[in-house]
Amino acid sequence: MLILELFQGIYTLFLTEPAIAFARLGLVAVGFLFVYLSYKKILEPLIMLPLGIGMIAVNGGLMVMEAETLQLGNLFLNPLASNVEEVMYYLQIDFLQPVYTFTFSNGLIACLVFMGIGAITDIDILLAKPFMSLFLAICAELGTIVTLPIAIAMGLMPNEAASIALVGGADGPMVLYGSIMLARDLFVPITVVAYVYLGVCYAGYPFLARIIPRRLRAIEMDWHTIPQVSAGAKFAFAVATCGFLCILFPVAAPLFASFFVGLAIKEAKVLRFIEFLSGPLLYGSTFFLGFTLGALLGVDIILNPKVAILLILGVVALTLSGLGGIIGGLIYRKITKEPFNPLIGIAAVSCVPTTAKVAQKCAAAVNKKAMILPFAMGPCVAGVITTAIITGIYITGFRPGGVFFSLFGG
Amino acid sequence: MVLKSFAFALIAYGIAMLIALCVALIIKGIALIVQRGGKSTAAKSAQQKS
Repeated sequence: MLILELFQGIYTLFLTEPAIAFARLGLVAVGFLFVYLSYKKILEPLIMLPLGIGMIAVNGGLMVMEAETLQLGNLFLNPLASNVEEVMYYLQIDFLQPVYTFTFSNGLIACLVFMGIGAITDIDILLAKPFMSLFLAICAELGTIVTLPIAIAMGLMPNEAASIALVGGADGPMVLYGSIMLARDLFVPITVVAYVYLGVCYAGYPFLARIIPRRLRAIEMDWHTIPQVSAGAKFAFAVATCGFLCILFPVAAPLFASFFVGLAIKEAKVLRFIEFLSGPLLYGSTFFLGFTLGALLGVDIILNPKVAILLILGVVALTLSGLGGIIGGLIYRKITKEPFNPLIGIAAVSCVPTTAKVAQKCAAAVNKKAMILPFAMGPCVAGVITTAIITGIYITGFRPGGVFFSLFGG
Repeated sequence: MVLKSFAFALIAYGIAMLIALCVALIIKGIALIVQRGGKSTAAKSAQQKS
């Protein structure tokens, strides 16, 4: 046993209960699986590759921190450090603790990612066809709405239920921000569930799209008819909508401000800022988001019995949102009676630009001439806005002493 | 609690719809202002030329 003490990762396997030791090994295996699937581009490598490596390292790298008490820990971070002394201690010991303390616990990392997303988002179609885009986006929020009572029926607290329901909005940074605000204890598994499922969306939604009759999936749309939108109109939209939404939902104002400042900078053509936001800031934040989430996925998080419920609810939320988008597409086609491919409804499940690409992929599979991607980007971006609106409502409703409790006394 | 949360979810959906409609109206309003601005600019430049 003495020689094993040299190799603390193995030694600690024998110090813990067998169930925990096996769970650790299982998580290392899942980490390897994530890395492999990211390498094969089945999962989104920008997030899942650093996340997988973080998972492997943190579960493999468990060590004895105090020899006398046999207290176990790692040199990555301690999310449970709460008082100032503890935080200061771990800031000097754990290498990811500064990233966690200064960017995760206050939601900054989600806002940084959102600034970058704003700086690369094309809103031409949203502005050219606002009613179509926002109607489909609202329909595609079905999962975000219906999952809330389902989650409470499955035994989650209202704030936890609201956090997992946000997965239906299919927007990773939004889920992260919402869960930090509402259910800090569960924000790691909820965010990981969101990102894993968003990665799987690309493979899963084409099956869901098959409920649309083949002849409708093959409808061609003339994207040359889309009216031009001036840069001034796009800039004015970013500033006006930001002000409007911030006044309505101050609790989600950091998210709105981050997204729309990116958008405004893009439309104002401030090239130096665009380069910074869409490059180093976006990808740097995404990298540290993935890596730190992986490092947070220790065995104690996964052994929480609520994780199994979260896994089920994540699928329910995203499936219902996809269905809502499809139903919205079919309704819109009926109402307008213009040549409209209902697959565009799937793009309204936010997740820029993955779902728009899925819609195009499904259309091209039945008709190579069907070019719907330019139209699909409108509902896709509108989906970010509607998800942000519902995030604002949920945070306002379900934070301690929120509107939900005042209304219903729950 | 399930029924209460269902009621709240429906209210939230209704509010989200209203706000989305407002956002769409903001977009239409901006488009209208930009269009008018463009027309008046064009008229001014035409006057200057004449």
